[in-house]
This record gives sequence, C-alpha cells and structure tokens, in this order.
Amino acid sequence: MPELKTKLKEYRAKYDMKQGELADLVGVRRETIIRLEKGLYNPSLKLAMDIAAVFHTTVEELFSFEE
Amino acid sequence: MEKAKKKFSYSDFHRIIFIIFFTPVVIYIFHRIEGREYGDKLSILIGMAIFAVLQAVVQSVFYTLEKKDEMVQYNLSKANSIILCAVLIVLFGAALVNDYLIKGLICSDFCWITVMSAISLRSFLFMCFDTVSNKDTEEE
Repeated sequence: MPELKTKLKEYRAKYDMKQGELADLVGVRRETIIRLEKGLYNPSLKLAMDIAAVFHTTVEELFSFEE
Repeated sequence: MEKAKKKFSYSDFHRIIFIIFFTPVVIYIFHRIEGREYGDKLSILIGMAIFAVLQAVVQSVFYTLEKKDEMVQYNLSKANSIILCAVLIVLFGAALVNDYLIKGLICSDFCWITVMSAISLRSFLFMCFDTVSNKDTEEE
C-alpha cells in the first residue's frame, strides 16, 4: 500500500507555526495535525487544500504517496 | 442500441443484504408473532415508529457532537466497526445459548448490559485510537 509522505513539518517550521496554531487555522484538533505529520492519516481533499492554502502552496507539494 | 450491461456494485450487494435480512424480520413480526406480544399490528407499527424517531434523535445528537473533526470521525468509524462486530457476536451468542444451553436469559437485563457496554466500549476504543504518544506531543 502506498505510504503517505508529507512536508507539513518543514512548512510549519518555515512559517514558524505551532501545531496548535495550524490546527486552529484549518479548523481541526492538534491531534489531527500530529497524525498528519507522522503520515498516519490520509486527510480529506478539503483539509489538504485548506492546509495548502495556509502555506500558499499546492496539495501536491505538501502531500505525496510513495510505494 | 443494446443497453450496456450494468456492473454489480457494492450498493447492489448491500441492497441484497438488506432484503435478505430485513424480509425475515418483517415476516416474523407480522405472521409468526401476529402482534400477540404487543397487542395488535398497529401497535407494532407505532412501536417501530417510536424506535425510529428515538434512533434519529440519538443519532442527531451524536452527529452534532462528533462531526467537528475528520480525525474524530475516522477514529469513531473504526470504533463503530469493532463495536458492531462485537454486538453481533454477543447477540448471536446469546441467542444460541438461550436456544440450546441455558433457557431463560433475562432479556431486558441482557439488553441493558449489551447497550451500556457497547456505548462505553465505543468511547474507550475511541480514546485508545485518539491517544497521541508523549513523544509526538513534545514535538512542537
């Protein structure tokens, strides 16, 4: 099964943003962001787009799948 | 022009499951019991309607409380799947025990224990799935 890879942590560091702050901006709990950063959870398209919008980037840049 | 052959879908599968399992329930209620346990057939319909309304009320309350976060929904769906299997196993097991081993299980007590256990176990499983390790928490 393809594994979810994410650059969420890098982007968060780049924007000097805490997990809780990002969670508040996209309307989810901090636990959700933690799981996303670990690649343990596939976000919905809406959440992925909301996060991409926060970092002014694309969904493809933030998330990818590796075999 | 010949109509393209429709592919058997997952929805079709569930339509068949619904018919196979719901039809015997209706037949049993209306022909075998014939309303004896509940007074008459109208009472059965009223009872079913009350049950449906109560279900809808409970579901709507749960839905408004639980729809906030998609991770919550994801963890709850995992917990729900496990609970559904557990409840089905318990009910089938109880039916077999009652029919073949110990006659006279106390039905209302059994129902209460099953319902309360299912709700508490569902929340417990959700907590387990939702727990974030200390290491992850400190990564801010």
